[in-house]
Amino acid sequence: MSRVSRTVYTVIGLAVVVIWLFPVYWMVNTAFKPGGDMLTVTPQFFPRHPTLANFRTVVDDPVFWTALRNSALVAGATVVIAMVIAFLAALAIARFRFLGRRVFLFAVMAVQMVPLVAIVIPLFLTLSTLQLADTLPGLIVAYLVFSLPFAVWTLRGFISNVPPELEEAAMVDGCSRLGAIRRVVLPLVLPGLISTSIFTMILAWNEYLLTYFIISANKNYTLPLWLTHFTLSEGVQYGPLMAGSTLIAVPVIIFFMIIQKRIASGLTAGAVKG
Amino acid sequence: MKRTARNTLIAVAATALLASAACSSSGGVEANSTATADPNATGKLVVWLQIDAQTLWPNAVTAATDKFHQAFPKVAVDVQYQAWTDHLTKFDATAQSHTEPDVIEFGNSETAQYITAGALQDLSGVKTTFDNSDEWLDGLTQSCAMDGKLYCVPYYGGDRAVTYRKDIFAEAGITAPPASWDELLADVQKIADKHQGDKNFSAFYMPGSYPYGGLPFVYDTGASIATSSGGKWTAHLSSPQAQAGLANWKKLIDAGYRGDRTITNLNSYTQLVNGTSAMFYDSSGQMAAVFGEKGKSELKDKIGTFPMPSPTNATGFLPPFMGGSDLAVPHSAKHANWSQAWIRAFTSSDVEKQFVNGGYLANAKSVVSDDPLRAAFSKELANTWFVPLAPNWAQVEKDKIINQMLVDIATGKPIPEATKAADDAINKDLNAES
Amino acid sequence: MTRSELQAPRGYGDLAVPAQRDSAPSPKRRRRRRFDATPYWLILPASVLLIGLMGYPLVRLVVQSFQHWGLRQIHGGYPPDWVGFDNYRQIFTDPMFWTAVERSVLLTVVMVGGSMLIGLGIALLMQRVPAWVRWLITLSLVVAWSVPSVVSTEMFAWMTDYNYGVVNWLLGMPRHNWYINNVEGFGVASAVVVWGAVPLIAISTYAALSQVPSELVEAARVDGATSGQILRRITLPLIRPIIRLLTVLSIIWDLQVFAQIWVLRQSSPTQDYFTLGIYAYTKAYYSHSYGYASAVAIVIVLLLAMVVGVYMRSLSKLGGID
Repeated sequence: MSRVSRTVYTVIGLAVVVIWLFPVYWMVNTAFKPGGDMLTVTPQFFPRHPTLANFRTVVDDPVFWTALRNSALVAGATVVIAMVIAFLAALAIARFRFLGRRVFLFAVMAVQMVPLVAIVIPLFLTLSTLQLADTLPGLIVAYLVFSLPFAVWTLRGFISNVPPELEEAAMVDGCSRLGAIRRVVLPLVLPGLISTSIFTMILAWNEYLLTYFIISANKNYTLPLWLTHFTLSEGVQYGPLMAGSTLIAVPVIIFFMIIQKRIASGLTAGAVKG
Repeated sequence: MKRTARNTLIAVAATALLASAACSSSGGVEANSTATADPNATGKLVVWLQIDAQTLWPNAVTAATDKFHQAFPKVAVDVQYQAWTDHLTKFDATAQSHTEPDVIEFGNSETAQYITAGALQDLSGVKTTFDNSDEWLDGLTQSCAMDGKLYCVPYYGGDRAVTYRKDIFAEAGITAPPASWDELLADVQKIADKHQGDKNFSAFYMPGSYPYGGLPFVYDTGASIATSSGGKWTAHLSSPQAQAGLANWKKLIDAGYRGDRTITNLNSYTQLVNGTSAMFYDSSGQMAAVFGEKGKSELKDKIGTFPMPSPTNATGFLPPFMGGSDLAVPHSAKHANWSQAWIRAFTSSDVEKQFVNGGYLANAKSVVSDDPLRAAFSKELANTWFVPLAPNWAQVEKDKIINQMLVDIATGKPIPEATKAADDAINKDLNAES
Repeated sequence: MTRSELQAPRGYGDLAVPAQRDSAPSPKRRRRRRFDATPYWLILPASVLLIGLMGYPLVRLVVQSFQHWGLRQIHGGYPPDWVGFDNYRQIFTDPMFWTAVERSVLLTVVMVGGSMLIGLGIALLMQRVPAWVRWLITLSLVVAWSVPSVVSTEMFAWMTDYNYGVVNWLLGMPRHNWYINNVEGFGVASAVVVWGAVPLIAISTYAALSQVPSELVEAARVDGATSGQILRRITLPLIRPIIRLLTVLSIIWDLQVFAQIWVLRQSSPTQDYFTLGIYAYTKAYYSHSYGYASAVAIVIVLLLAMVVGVYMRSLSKLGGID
C-alpha cells in the first residue's frame, strides 16, 4: 500500500474516531462540570470549573453498587449461557440437515420481529407464573431469549465457513467428533464468538424496558433501572446522570479490552491453511 | 402406561382448577378491615411512590412508615420507587399477575381513566380521617372526585409563578416587581429596550409550546377548556372569553420574547442562569434550579418571585394550573385499612411540611413555606384550576392539541381559526369510545 | 482472471460464489439411513428457552388482538370483549397508521442504508490502517456502543438543543430548532440511530473480513487484479452472508425504532414524528388499549416476516440453506 493512501486512510480513521467518541466525550465532559456550566450559551469544551461532585453523588448511593453488582452478574451469566446455547444450535443448523431446520431458524428470527412494547406484559406474566418475576435469574432468561437470534444466525454463518473437511481430517487423525469441533471449529469461529459476546453483553448491560417490568425490589436493580431515578417530574438531574452513565460504560470497555487481544489472535487463526 | 398417564393428567387438571378457583376467590377485604390500629396484624404492605419521593424527601417516607408502625407494628412496609415513564403500564401488568401494590401514587392528570375503570377504592367514608381534608387544594381534590365520591387522597401539589432576576431589573431602572398587568407590560418594555441590541435576549421567556403557560390566560377570563353534560364533552377554547385570554397571552409574547416561538419550556431555569432572560413563568422547582445544584449558587440573592398579574383583574393574579400527585388504594388491596393508615401517616401535617421544604406545595392551603421566595406560589393557591376530568384527557395531551394551538397562535395564525381547530380535535378525542 | 480461480475451494459452504450446498459432511450422507438425533439435542436448549418464554406471550398476543382489552377489563374485572377483526379493521382504516408505515419504511431505508454503507466502509478501512489506528477505531466504536442508547440519544438532544446545542454552535447557527421540520428532525434521529448501529456492523463485518483467506487475495493480486476488482469479486461475495444478516436485522430493528425519536422529542412527539414503533407504543401504553396494540404488533410482525421471508429465499438461492 502506498504511503499516500496509508496516510489518507489514517486520517479518515481518525475522523471516525472523533465522530464516534464525540458524544461520549461530551457526556464525560459534562459529568465533570458543575450544574451551572452544563447548559451555557458558549459551550465549554473543557470544564472551566471541574468538579467531582457528580461522581461523589453516584458513588455515595448504595443502590448504585447493588445495581452494578447485579448488572455484572446478569450480563456475565447471559453472555456465557448465550454463547453455549447459540453455539450448539448454530452447530446443528450448519452441520446437519434435519427436519424442522428451516422452521427453527425462522422461529429464532421471529423473536426479533415482535415489537417489544407489545410483548412486554405477556412476557412479564409468563415469568410471573414461572416464579421468576423480580428475580435475577428471570432477567437472565429474558435476556437470553433476545440475544439468541443474532448469536445463532451469526455463529451459523461462521461455522458454515469452516470446511467440514477440516473436521474430518482431524477425526482421521484420531480426534473424537467433540475434540474435532473443539480443536478445529472453535478457534476458527472465534471472531464470530467475540462479536456475538460483545453484542450480548451490551444488550444485557443496557436493557431497560423489560427490566423495568420484571424488577421491583431495590436489591434486584440493574444499572439502567438505577439511571431512570435521575429523571424527576421536575426535570432531569444531569450531573449524576452523566457521571452515572460514564461509570456504567467503563466495565463494558474493560470487557472489550480483555477480549480484544483474542480478536487479534482470532485473525491469525482465520486463514485456512491448505 | 397409558392409564397412569391419563390419571396423572386428570389429577393435574383438577389441581389446576382448584388452584384457579382458590385464586379467584381472593381479593376480598378481611373481617377486621375497619380497625385503624391492630398490634397483632402481620403481613406486608407494598407502596408505589414515584422517584421524586426518594430524591426530594426520603425522610418523609421513613417518618410516615414509623407513624404507620405505631398503628400496625407488625406489618412490614415495602416502598418501591417507580419511574414516570411506563409506571401506569407496569400497574396494568401487576393487575394481571395479581401482584398490585397496596398504595399507589398517580400524577393528578392520570387518575381519571383509572377511576372510570373502577380500579381504585372509594375513600369517601374515611375522608375526614385524613389531616386537613377540609382545606385540600382544589386542583388535587378535583382529580380525586367523581360522581361525588372520593377515590384518592391529595399528596402534594405544584403551581407556577414568575421568577425574575433583580439585577437585570435594576439595570433597567426597575426597583420593585410589577403588581398589575399593565405594570408588567411596562416593565417588559423597559427591559426589552435596554437589551435591544441582543437578539438572544428575551425580556420575558414565554415559549409557544407551553400549555401551562398559555391556558391560565383562558381560565383567567372565566372560560375553561371543556365541560361535560349528559356524558358528552364540549370544548370551549373558541368561546369569545377564551380567545380574549389567549390574545393577552400573545401580547406578552410579542412584547417580551425573542427567538423561535415553537419550542417548549424545557429547562427554563437556564435562561436566568445564563442571563439571557429577565423573567420566566414556571414552577417553584425551576425557580430553585436557578441557584441550586444545576445552576449558580451566587444567584440566590438576586432572584425574586411574584404572582403573574391578571389581565382581567387589576388586583388579582393569573390562576395557575395545579399539578401534583395523589395517593390511591387499588381496589384489589386486601387490607384497605392498612393502606389508608399509611396514606394517613404520609399526608399528616408534619410530613406534608417536608414536601413544602422539598420545594413543592402541601396538599392543604394552610401548610405553606416561610421562604419569601415561595410566597408568590402560596399566594396563588386561592385560585387554581385543573384539566377536565375526562377519561380520555390523556389522549388530548398525547395528541398535543393544546401545544399545536398555542404554537399556531404564537406564530401568527388568527386566534379564531386556531381555537376552532383545537376545539374540534378535543371534542373528537374526549368523546371517542375508550 | 478466470471463473475457476474465483471459485473458493470446495466446502466453503454458502460463501462460495457458485452455488454450493450448506456443508453436511460427506460421511454423514452415506449414513443417512440411520436417524441421527444429535441435531435435536443440540437445538434443545434454545428451543426450550424460546417456546417456554415466548410461547404463551405470542399466543396471548394473537388472542388479545381479537379482543377489546383495556383498563376496564384489567382493573374492573370485566371479561374481555370479543370483537373479531374490528381491531384490524381499525388499523387498516386509520390514516395515521399508514402514514406511520410510510414514514417508517422511508426512515428504515435511510437508516439501514446509512448504517450498512458506513459500517462496511469502516470495516474495510480497519483493514487498511496501521494497527494503532485500528485499535483506536475499535475502542471508539465499542465505547460508543457501550453507552446506553437512551443516554447517547440524550447527548444528541443536548448537542442539538435549541438554546445550547454545541452542534448548532459548531455549525455557526446558534438557536436553530432542528425539530420544527420533521425532515430535519428525522435527520437528527437517523444520525443517532446510524451512530448507534455502526459499531455492531463494523465490528461484525471486520470479523468476517478477517476470515477471508489471504491466499486468495494474494493469488489474485499476483495475477494482476486491482484492489477494486479484488474487493468486488472476492471480498464482497465472501462476506455477503454476514452483510445480508446484518441488513435483515437492521431492517427489523429500524422499522420499529422508538427510543431515539422519543427522547429527541422530549417524550412527547407530535404526530408528524409518528413511526410504527411510536404508534405501537402510544396505543399500548397511553391509550391502554392492549387489544388494539396487540393487533398492531401482529401487523408489524407480518410486515417484518415478509422481509425475513425474502431474506431466507435469497439465502437458499445462494445455496446457504435448502
